Amino acid sequence: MIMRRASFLIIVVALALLPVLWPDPYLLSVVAAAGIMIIAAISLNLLLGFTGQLSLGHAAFFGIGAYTSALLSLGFDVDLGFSSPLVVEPKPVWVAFAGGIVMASLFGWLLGKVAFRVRGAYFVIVTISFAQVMRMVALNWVDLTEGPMALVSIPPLSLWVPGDGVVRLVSKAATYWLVLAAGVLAYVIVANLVRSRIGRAAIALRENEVLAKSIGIPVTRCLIVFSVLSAGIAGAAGGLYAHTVRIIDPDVFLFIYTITMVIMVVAGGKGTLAGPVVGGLIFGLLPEVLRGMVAPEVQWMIYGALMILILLFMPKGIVPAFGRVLKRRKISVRRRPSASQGASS
Amino acid sequence: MTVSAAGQPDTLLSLSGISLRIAGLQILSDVDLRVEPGRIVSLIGPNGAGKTTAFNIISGYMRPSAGSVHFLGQDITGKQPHEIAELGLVRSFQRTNIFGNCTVFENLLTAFHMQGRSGLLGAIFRLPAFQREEQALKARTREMLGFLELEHRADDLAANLSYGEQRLLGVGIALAAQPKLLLLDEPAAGLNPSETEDFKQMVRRVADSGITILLVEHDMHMVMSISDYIMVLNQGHRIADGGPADIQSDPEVIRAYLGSGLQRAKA
Ligand SMILES: Nc1ncnc2c1ncn2[C@@H]1O[C@H](COP(=O)(O)OP(=O)(O)OP(=O)(O)O)[C@@H](O)[C@H]1O
Ligand SMILES: [Mg+2]
Repeated sequence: MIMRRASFLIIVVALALLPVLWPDPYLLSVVAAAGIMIIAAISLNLLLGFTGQLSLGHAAFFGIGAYTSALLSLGFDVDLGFSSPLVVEPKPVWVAFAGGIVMASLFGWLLGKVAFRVRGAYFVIVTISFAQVMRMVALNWVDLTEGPMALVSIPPLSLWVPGDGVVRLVSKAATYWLVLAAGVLAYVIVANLVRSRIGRAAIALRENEVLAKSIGIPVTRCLIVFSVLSAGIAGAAGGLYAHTVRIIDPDVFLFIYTITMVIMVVAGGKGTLAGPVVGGLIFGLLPEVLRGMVAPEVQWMIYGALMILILLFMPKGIVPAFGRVLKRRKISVRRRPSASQGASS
Repeated sequence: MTVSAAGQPDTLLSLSGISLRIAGLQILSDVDLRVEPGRIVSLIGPNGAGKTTAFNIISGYMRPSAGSVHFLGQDITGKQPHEIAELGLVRSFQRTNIFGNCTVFENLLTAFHMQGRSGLLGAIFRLPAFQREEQALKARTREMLGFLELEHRADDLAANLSYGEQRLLGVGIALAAQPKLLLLDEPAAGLNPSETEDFKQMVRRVADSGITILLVEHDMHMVMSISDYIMVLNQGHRIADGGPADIQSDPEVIRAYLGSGLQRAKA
């Protein structure tokens, strides 16, 4: 427990020092971009890893968070067919960001409601279609979203810093720290949630739904709670994306982004806390690492081959595989002194 | 509903006119049953008689085509399993049912779900009330491990337990849900004689702690020695009910079930 906290703190501090030790703007922006995907993967893991529901529309929550937050911060007017158009003045960026989280959570609630009516393969299809519909809306509701022309000049998030006043978080280092802070927050929320009564209820639902019901776990409510939280965190990741990249187009809803999140979670180890982080670092940074070295098509072949190799040799993912190795070492270390008990005590 | 002088309902569980048809098959026909508090009641009958189906209906996993189930004077027909469990009616399963990928400790801790109150905010912010509750639930989990004599297995994955230990854990999970009425579906199936004897002692201890038990079991030594009251089902019909002595001498029961059952028990 204490060991776990200490190593967590050391890793966070080390990550926070990166812009100081290695102030390469390219590196920082690449890591920040991977960080946003990692947050999205952490949120997907809540649903896929802990409740066992395969949602293949997760990019929808990311995109809803991004568009809502961007639109609220830019302000918009739409004609909904009433006498006067709906006009929304630009909101402060953090308010817009919170709005994005709320909107994504609302859709998460809807998905949770649906999940218990349509199960298994049908649920997967519903989630895929959901993201597709969102993309169509973003493409075609040009009055609101600018369609394929993209939303541009999205304002960055800002922060009040003692001495400097309100600082716009636009530098590469500031963006990096922002994403890191959000990532740590998402990780801690998920970790605390999973190691609690409601987290155990979700795992029970994943492991054995029939048994879970028999001990009084309200599986429907439990699934809805996790769906809302998962969507909310994905929405936050989308908001971060909108205000750091500062331009979004309907492609944020593309299936490939959902697949990227799934790969990160599954390769890292679904249902483990560190899984999406480890998987996200590998598959988020790999394209950038390979970019300078090989042709794009070779890049994707390596990406695919690595994925297959990981799942072949570590079917549960990287984190559980290494966890087993560590445990084995710990046991053997503990056993050794017992052979010479006099010396060890 | 009649209520005795002490304010206790006379009947904990009652089934009236329960019938079930699936795809033209009559699986249960007009079954009545009353379970009085503090008793050990057994439901016996040959394979396919409808015992597990009756359990599924009582615990909310199946809806009867006709009839009603009352628990603590309340109509629970058609309620969700988790709602019925919340009222204090908990069942174990005929086929071993555990959270295989979780440790034994986690299995039982999860099963104490209804004994906790903490919500999302408490968990996310690790509020003091949440921490206290977690400590309390963990203490109760250790107590339950002691009762089941599974302390030495606490950190093992449930899937790695022996068959007998898994059966025991399955009952422990149901017990952790703090039932007033516990439904046990063939808890001793597949256990060797000494394990069965241990199991019988455990069922006694559970009953002595004030939990009413409704038992489905094929081991006639166990049934006859611990039951206060027995109901016999055959092909979905109730063919007899009464004390162990009455049941053992009932000609129809002997013909339909005990004949072979007694021979098996003697062999
Ligand atoms: N969902 C279902 N659909 C169709 N038939 C079913 C269903 N559930 C049970 N049955 C049938 O109902 C009958 C009673 O089954 P049940 O499992 O209740 O028997 P049981 O008394 O528990 O037997 P055993 O002693 O073997 O456990 C059987 O003939 C079974 O095939
Ligand atoms: Mg049965």
